[in-house]
Amino acid sequence: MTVAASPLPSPAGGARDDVRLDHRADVTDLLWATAARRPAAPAVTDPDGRWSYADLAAAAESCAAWLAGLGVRPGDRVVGRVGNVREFLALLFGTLRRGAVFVPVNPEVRPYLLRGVLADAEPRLVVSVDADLPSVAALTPVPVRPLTELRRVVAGGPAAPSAAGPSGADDPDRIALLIYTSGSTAAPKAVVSPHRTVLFATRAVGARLAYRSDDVVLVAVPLAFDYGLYQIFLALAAGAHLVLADPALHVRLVTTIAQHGVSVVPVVPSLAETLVRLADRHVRRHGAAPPVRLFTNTGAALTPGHAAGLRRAFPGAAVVPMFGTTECKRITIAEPDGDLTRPGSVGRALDGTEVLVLDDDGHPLPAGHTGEIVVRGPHVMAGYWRAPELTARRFRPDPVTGTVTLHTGDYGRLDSDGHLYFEGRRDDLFKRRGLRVSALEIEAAACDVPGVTAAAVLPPADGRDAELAVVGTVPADEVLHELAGRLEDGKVPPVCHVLRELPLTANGKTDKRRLAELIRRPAPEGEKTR
Amino acid sequence: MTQPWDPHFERLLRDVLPKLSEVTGDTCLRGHGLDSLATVELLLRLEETYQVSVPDTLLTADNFATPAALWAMIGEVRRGEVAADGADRRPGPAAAASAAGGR
Repeated sequence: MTVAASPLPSPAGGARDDVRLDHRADVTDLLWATAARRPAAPAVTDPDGRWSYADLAAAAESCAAWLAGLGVRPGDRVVGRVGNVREFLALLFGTLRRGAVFVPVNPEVRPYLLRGVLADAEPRLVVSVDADLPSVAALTPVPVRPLTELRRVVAGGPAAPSAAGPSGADDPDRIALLIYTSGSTAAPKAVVSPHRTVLFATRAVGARLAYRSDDVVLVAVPLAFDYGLYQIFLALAAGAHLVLADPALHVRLVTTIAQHGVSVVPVVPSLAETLVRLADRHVRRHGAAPPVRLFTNTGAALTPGHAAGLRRAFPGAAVVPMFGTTECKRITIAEPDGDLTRPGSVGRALDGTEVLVLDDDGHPLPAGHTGEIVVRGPHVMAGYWRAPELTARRFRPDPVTGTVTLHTGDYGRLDSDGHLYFEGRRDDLFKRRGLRVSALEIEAAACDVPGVTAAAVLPPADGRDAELAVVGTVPADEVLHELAGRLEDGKVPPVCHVLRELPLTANGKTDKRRLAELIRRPAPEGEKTR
Repeated sequence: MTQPWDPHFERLLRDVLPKLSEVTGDTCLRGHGLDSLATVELLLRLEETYQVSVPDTLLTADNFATPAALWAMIGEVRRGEVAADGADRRPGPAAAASAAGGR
């Protein structure tokens, strides 16, 4: 299916040059602009209620004044560990309004990791869900305030705008966000996201996805995950309505979708599977699925089965595959249902940006050849927080022009039309019996086997061969037999484990470290052979 | 130790949550692998096994917290103590909006 031309800005980016050059660019303008234009329009709804754009702007002002009173100054970091609630937005925009830097953290992050994040970010203040506040307070000398206090402050009504003070200086690299990523390294690392870069990325992604002012966008992925976080910016830029769902309780999700008239849903694979199952239940009870128009996907790729399931369960909905990394927010976005026209593709580079595939010596490779995916453009963030060596490795400035090339550490190839195909991290690519093998390729083939709903491959390690783990109703030897019909001999792993579920990270990606612990150790459950 | 539920219920729980060892009334299900996908799986199996349709008002985190809470929920539905799922029984978003917006 080809899609009518979407309202793309001119490739030269007349409008976006303003963003690039505007040193006063401020993420909070996304909120103020719509609050001024359509104050009564719904901005955000969570299970406890709804705020209009005017309510949200007032909540941000109240929060900014509260932060000022607690000694937060421009440039300070404020850690928000509050989950998918309206107050997340109040804290985000209140922090930015104060000229400070917002650091979102998922409440699911374990104390071990959280301690490292708090030490690294050196915040002035932590705002945390109340439940385990004492244990969080024990991790840091910094004041930790409960979410209920912020709730009271926001409910108390708007402060005088002057109380918050000016939002910041005239600095082109003023930082808006530190986003901690779940990297493969042990130490936490945060991507430094300046205001103008966040705004450029928001507008470039928005130009492709074309959220509308009458859209209702469901955020069921964690807001602390940049996929969830940017839904706020995208929705506000469009004047749309955000509906927040608790990532830990998806059992009411389709009801929520129907109740609020949700039209756009960002999904990761586990969420897509949940939605399909719940949509079938909803149809049995109510006769029809709610009219979602768009599912976007990034973070971890949907299998063709997931995408087909979504299109079947929600007739009329399109699926948009995307690809990105927190270091530049988004790299590529496909056309709606682009997974059908170019299977496996994650689309073309954002307008005004460049994606290249390089060989090991750093030379661009022609179409069809696999190499490291690198990125240039105004969406490339400002490196890692207080990690100059790591920054120098991944964000490499051209010695002559100074243009930064982001080395993503992801591998893939481009086709002759510039559509990107992601093949995995370097760790996911290995050689086996002389063949170059991608874990993703095997996983995709396994998911193509009827009855398999998820798959993960552990590449060879420590003298052990590659191993496959699948979730589904098919016996292990049948999965391997089916795989042999889909892949060259050398690519079929010798062992398949049928599991009830794959261990996932908080962001919905397969947690291969935990998977390895699970299946590369004698399994007491006897799940191996089924 | 006898439990109030029938054997189907415990088997179903163990099926969905293989990490469960001893099943008592106050076993924390979330601590034994009841994530979002497993919750949906559990709901669908309960509805199939007991031939019930759990109304959305009962689909709360609390009702999925422990075997006792879950069994109580099923009992409530089976005894017909809750209305079947209608169009929209909850206070609409308008009510929530006016409650939140009055400042």
